[in-house]
Amino acid sequence: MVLGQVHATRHKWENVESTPLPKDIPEVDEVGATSAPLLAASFYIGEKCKPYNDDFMLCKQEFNGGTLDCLKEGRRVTRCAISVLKDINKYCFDEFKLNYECLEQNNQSLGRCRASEGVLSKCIFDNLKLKKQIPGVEAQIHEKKNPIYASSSKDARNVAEFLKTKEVAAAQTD
Amino acid sequence: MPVPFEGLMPYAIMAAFFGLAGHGVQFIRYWDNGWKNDRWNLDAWDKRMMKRDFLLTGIKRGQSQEPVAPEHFKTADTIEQQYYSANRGQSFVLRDRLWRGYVFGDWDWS
Repeated sequence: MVLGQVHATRHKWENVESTPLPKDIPEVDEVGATSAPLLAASFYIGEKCKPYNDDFMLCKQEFNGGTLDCLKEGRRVTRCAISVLKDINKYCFDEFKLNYECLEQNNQSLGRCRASEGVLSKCIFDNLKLKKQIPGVEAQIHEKKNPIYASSSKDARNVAEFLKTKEVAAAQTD
Repeated sequence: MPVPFEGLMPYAIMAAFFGLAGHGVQFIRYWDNGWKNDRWNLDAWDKRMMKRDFLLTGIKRGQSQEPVAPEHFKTADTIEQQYYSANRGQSFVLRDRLWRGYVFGDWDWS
């Protein structure tokens, strides 16, 4: 190895923003959920945050996709999504995990995980009063009793096991 | 006349080794994904989200349900490095097409 190459390639790297935002733009926490949990929570986020999301999209439309003009609306969208995720984690942590782990095993296709999705949606409806509604379709596919492409059998098995352990835990506390 | 079992033994051995090779590769891929199945038929959105997942968790195929991202996520970035190969993306054609979505009919011929 040539000495010059070592000096050329090995440099210290720090995770620092070299061009920070101006002071007049307030800080906002970023959404920390990764793709599968976000997909599992997406319809509930959409349900709760519809006004903020619509506002943001209208702003983008009005300012011709303006990035700088819609920062305030964008912060509201981010904060609202974080609030929904916090609520889901507070009330339905295990159900949420069950569903997104199934999604992660099945190429994140919702149709393969209907069993755990049912458990999650029931928990979320009981605690947060949010209901999944796919907009602009004739039939709500997740509410069909006999869909053509059925849930994966592994998901159904995991859900049965989950419900059983939950029942046992509930019986022990009583 | 029935075939004596000695005559079928080579075929059994061949089948066993093909099976070992295939299942072995499949097992290694599953292990390498963090005990998860392969992602396939990915579009630009999925790839972008997988990059974001890596920045959040620091693990390939890692997932997190934390509502708020860690502080370093705001400035995190990855640098991709790859070396030249004469036939990149040309071998394993069927798998390549499966992953790109051609096999399941998501192509665009226009």
